[in-house]
Amino acid sequence: MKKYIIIICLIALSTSAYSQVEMKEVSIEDLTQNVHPKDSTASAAILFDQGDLDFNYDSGWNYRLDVKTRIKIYNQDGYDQANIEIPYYKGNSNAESESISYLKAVIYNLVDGEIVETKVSKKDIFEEEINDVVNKIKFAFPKVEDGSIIEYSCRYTSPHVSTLPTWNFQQDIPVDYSVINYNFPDKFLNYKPIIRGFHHVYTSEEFASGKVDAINSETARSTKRASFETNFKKIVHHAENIPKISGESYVNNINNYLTSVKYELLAYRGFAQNAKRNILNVNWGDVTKAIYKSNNFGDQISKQNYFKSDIDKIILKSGSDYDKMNHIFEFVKSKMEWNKKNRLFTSDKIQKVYKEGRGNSADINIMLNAMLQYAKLDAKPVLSSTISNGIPFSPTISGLNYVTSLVRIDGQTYLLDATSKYSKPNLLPRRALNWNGIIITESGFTSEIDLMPTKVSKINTMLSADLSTEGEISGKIRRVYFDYFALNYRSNISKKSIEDQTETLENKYQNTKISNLSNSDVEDISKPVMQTFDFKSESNYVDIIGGKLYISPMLFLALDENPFKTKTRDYPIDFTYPRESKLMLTINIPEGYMPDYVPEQSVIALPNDKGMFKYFAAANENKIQLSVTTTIKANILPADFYQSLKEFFQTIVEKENEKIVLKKV
Amino acid sequence: MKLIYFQFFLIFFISSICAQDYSPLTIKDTLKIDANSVIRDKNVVITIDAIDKMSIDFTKIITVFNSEGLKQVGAYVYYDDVSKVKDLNLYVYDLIGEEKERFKKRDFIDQSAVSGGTLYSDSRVYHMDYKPKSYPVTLKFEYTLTTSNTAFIRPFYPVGRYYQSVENSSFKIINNTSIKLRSKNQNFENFNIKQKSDFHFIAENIPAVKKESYSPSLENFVPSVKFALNKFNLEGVQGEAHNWKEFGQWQYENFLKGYDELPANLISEIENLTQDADTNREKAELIYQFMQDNSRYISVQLGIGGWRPMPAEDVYDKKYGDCKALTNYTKAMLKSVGIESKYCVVYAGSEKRDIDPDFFSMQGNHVILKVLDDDEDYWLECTSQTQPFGFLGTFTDNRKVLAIDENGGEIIETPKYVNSQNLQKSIAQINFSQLDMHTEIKIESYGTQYNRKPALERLSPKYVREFYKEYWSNLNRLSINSYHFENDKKEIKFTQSINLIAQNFLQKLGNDIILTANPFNQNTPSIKTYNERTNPFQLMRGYKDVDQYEFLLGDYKVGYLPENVTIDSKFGKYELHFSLQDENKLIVNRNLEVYKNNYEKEEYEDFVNFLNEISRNDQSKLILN
Repeated sequence: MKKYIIIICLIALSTSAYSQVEMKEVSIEDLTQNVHPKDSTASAAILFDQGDLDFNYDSGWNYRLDVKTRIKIYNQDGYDQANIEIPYYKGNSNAESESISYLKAVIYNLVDGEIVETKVSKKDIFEEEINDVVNKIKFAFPKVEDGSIIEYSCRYTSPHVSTLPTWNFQQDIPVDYSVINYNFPDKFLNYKPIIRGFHHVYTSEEFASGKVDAINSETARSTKRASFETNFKKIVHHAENIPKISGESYVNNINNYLTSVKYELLAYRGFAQNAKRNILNVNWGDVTKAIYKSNNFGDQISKQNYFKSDIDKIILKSGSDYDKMNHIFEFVKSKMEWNKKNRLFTSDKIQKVYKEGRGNSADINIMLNAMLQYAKLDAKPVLSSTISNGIPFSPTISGLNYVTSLVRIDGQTYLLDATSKYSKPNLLPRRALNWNGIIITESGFTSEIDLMPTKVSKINTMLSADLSTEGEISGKIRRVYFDYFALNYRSNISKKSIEDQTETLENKYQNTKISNLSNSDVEDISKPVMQTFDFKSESNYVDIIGGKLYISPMLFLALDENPFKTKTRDYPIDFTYPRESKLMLTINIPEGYMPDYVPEQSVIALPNDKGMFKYFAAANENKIQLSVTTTIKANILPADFYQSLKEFFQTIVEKENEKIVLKKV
Repeated sequence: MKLIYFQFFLIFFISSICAQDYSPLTIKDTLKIDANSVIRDKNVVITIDAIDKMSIDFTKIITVFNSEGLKQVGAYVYYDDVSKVKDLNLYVYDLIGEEKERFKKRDFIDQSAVSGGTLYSDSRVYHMDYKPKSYPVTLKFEYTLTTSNTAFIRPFYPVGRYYQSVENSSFKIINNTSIKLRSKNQNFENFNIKQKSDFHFIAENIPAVKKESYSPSLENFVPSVKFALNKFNLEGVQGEAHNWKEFGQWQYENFLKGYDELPANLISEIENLTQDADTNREKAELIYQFMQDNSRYISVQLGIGGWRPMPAEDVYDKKYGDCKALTNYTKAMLKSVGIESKYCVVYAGSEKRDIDPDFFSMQGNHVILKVLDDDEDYWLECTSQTQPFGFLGTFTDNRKVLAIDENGGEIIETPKYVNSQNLQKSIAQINFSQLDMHTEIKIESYGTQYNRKPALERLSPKYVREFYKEYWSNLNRLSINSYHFENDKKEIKFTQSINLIAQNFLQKLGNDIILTANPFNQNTPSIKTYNERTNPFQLMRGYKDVDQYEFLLGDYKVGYLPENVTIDSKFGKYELHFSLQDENKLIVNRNLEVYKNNYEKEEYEDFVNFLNEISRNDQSKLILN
C-alpha cells in the first residue's frame, strides 16, 4: 500500500487556544496595500473568508451556512475575481431544494483619500437556470480598480445534512485568513471531520448550550416558529497564509492535495425522550452494510430472474470456473454499453437496463457480479472511487462512486470491470485505478484491495532500416503493446481509420512518411496488439557534415524533451501503472562508409529499484545496432523522488539523442 | 477580448419523410469517402407571416458512422425570450431503418446557453446527448421554432462541416407578407445546388470535405445563401432599410443616439486630463488610456441589450461594459473633446471574415472604434485593458466592417499587418565554457508577432521559465538566469532580453564537436502532407524573422563551415549565411520572410518542400575542434 500518497493532517488536537480573529472594518491601509505581502505575483488575495454553519429544523434538519468573503484586488489580472458565481442545487422538489438568501455585496474604493462603499444593486444580480436541477446566482462588482476590496455574504440553506459542503482553505489566489465555525446540535446530529492538505489547520472545540429554530418539529408540536434549548458542540477550524494552488503535471487529481475540511454525518437521534441513536458509518463495515441494504445495490445482486436463461446457456457450454468467469465477463461486455456515468448504485429498474443494453457503471458491474454469483463463483462487489472523484480518506458513502467485481478461483483473484470493451480480468480501465477498493460481503465483512496495477505494462519495438549515402532512412517497425498499453491502443487508437492513424503518426513523427500501417489482434484481447508500418525520412535524422554522416539512430522514437521541467515539486508523481519500453534497432550502413564514433553504453537506475534505463549501441562495418530499455517499476512515486526522476529523464533525453558518426571508408 | 451576442453564427439544418428509406445500406459510396456522417435528408421551411412572426420547420435525417460523426449530429436548438420551440423530437433508427427509440421535448435537456465571457443573457438551448450502442445509426431530429425576430433569417448552408457528406438538403422560405425578401448566393460553382425558385434551394449528393491545413475557412469556399427582409423586427424594435446606409441609419437612431451622454464631472475630468495635450492624437491616447484604466469587460445581453450599448453614463458609474458599451463610452469621451469617431461592427476572430458589402443585414459579432484625425485615422479595441493605442492585432485586422454614425452606415476596411510588418528580430551573443553555451539574447517583436507577446509580462517567473523551456525545447538542460521585458506601446514593440545557459549544447562525438548554427529559431511550422490536396490554401498574413547569432568560439576552431544558403520562392525567402570574422568570431545570419497570399492546391507540394527545406537548413551544423 502506498501510505505516502495520503496527506491527512490528523486533526491537530493540540487545540490551539481559541484564537479566532474577527473580521475588521476595511481600513485605508487595506486599500492602499498595492502588493500582496507574501506573494508579490498575486493579482488578488482573499483577506478574510468566514463560514458559520448551524442547523435548524423545518420538518427535517437543514443546515445554514453563512459565508462572508473579502477579496483584495491588486491589478487588472485580478479583476475577474470580482465576477461572482454562486451555484446551488434546486433539485426536483421543494424537499431537496437548497436556497441562497441574504445576499449582500459591496465594494470599497479609496477616492481622494476617503473610503467609498458601493453596493451591488439588486437589478444587477442575475439568477441563471443552468439546467433543471441547478441554478446560479451571478453578478459583477461595479467600480473595480487596482486596490479595490470586494466583499460579499450570503446564506446557503440546504436539507442535505448528511454531507456538509467542503470548506476550502486553499484557493487559486492566496488566502490570508480563513475560518469555519460549526455549531453541531450534538444531541441529535453527530459529525466527523475529514481534513486534508499540506497546510496547517488550527482546530478548537468547546461545548455550549443554545437554541435551535424549529418549525414542524415533534418537540415544538406546532407549525409555528419556535425554538428549543439544546447543547452544541462548537468546532472552529482556521488557517492562515495559505499560498495559492499551483498546478503541476503528472497529478491524477489536484483536489486530493488541497487544504480543506469536510464533515460527514456519523449518527443522528430523533426528538422522542427515549429515541435511539442511529449510528451511520463508522468504518468500512458500516458503510458497506448501509450500501448493501440499499434497494439499488444488495437487492440487485440477489435478483437473478432477468438473466437466468441467458446465463444458464453460458454455464452449460463452459468447463472450468475460470472459463465460466471469462464467458460471463465477455457476455456482459458485449451485451452492455456503458453510458459514461460512474455510479455506486444501480438505476431503478435493472431488468429494463438489461433489456436496453445500456447502463451506468453500477448497473453493468453489479449485474456482472450477480451473474457470477448465480454461476456459483466466489464473486464479491468491490467499492471504489474513480480518479476524478478523488481519494476517499475515511469511510463514507459519498466518497465512493464506483463498483467492480472480484472473483476468487483456486486461490487466484481477478478484478473485473465490464464497462470497457477492451478490459480484461485484472486490467481495469484507467479511471478505476485509484488507490484502494473495498471488498464487501452481505454479512458486512470487508477488506481492502489495492487497485493500482503492479504488473509492468510493456511496449516492445523492433525497427530495421536502411540508410543511404544521401541521409535517407527507410525501414519497417513492429511494435507490440501489452496490458495497459494494449488497452489504451485498443480503446483510442485502433478505433480510428487507418488513414487517420497514419496521419496522426506523421504529425507526431515530423517529416516522416508512414505507409502500410496495420494492426493485428485488436479484437482478440487474449493477445497483445501488434502494430506494423513502413517509414521513410529523407534526411531528418541524418546530418551530412564535412563528408561524415551524423545519425540520430533512435529516429522519431527518441524522447526529445524532459517531461519534468519545474525545479521542485510538492505532489506525488502519478504514472498510474508500471511500464517498460524496449527497443531493438538495426540500421544497415551504406556501402563505402564505416563507423567513426559510437556512443558509450549507459545503465542508470532510480533509487530503490523504482526504475532503470539501459542503453547499448554497437556498430560493425555493416550494421548499427541499438538496444534501449526504459522501465518505471512504480505506479506512483512520492514527491521526494522528484529530483532523481528529473535527472533520470534528463539522462534518457540526452542518451536517446546521441549520434552515431559514420565516415567514408 | 470578447465577442457579442451571436446566436446566429451556428449553422442549423432541416424534413418530413419516413426514415425507412434511410437505411445506411443505401448510401452511395461517393458519399462515404471521408465522411463520419451523411445528411440523408434535411428540410428547412421558413414561413414569414408578419414583420414580427416567423416560424422555422426543421427536419434532419442523418446517418452516423462513428463516434466522430456523432459529434456532427447537432441535436440542439437555441431559443430565447422572444422565441419558442415545439414539436421537438429525436428518433433513432437501426440498420434496416426500423425505429428503435424516440425522444420527445421533455427528454431533451433544457439548459442555459450563456457563453463563456458573458455574465448573463437570456439565451437557452434544448439539446440531446444521445449515445448509440453501435454504428451505423440513423437519427431524425425535428422541431418547429417560432420567433418574433425577423432581422435575422438563418442562411442556407448545406455543407456546414468537414467530414460530412450531403445526400439531400432542401431550404425554402415562404414569405406571406408584402415585405421584400432578398437573397445572395455564394460559391455555387463546384457544388451540386439547384435553385427551384427564388427562395427554394436543393443540394444533392455533395461529398464530404476533408479538412486540410492552411485551408481558408470552410465558409469561404462552400455554398451558402444569405437572406434578409427590407422591413424587420428586432426585440420589438422595427426597422426598414434598402441599403447599408439606411440600415446603419436605423441602427444609429435606435441603438446609439442618446446613449452617449456623459455626466458633467466626467466631462470636466476628461477636459483636465487632455488640457496639456497638443494634438488630437495625444488627447485620444490619453482618453483611451483612461478608459483602459477605468473599466473592464463584463457582458450582459438581455433582449435588445444584445444590440444596444449600455448608456455611457452607466459605464462610467459601474466601470464595466461589453464591447458595445465600452466602444460607445470611448466614442462619447472623444466627442466631449471634439474628436470624431465611428462605431464599427465587425466579425472578430483570427480568421478574417468580412461584413458583406453587397448584402445589408444584421452581421458581425463585435464592435471596435475608428477614430478620425486630420492626418491619419486610427483604430481602437476597447475591450482590452492592455492593448496599445491604435493596434487591432489579428482579432479584427484587414477586413470589411460596418461603420455607423448619424449619417448612416458605410462599409470600410480595417488596417492590415502584412509580411515584413510582422517582424521578429533577434540578436544573440554566445560564448562557450566546455560544452555549455552562455547566451545574451534580445528579441524584438512587431505587428502580429507583437500580438501575443505582452501576455509574457503578466506571467509569474515560474511560468516564464516554463514558457522558455517549451519555446526552446531544442535546448535540453536550459536554464534562464534572468529575463527582462519591455512593452513599448508607443512603438508597438515588445522586447525580450534573456540571459541563459544551455548545458551540453555542444555535442562531443569522438574527436568532433558539433555546433548547431541556429539555436534559437527552430520554430518554422511543421506541415502536413497529403497524397492528394483537395482544397486551395492561404498564408493569411505573412511574417519576417531576422536573426543574428554572434558566436565567440574561444579556444575552439572551426573545422567545417557549411555553405551559405538562399532559398527564394514564391512563398517566401530564406537565407542562412555564415561568416567567420576572425579566427574565433562566427556570425550566423538567418532571415526568413513568408509572404501573405492565396494559392492553388497544385502549389501545395512546392510549399511543403519550401518549409521542409527551411527546417532542414535550420538544423545546419558546424564541426569545431
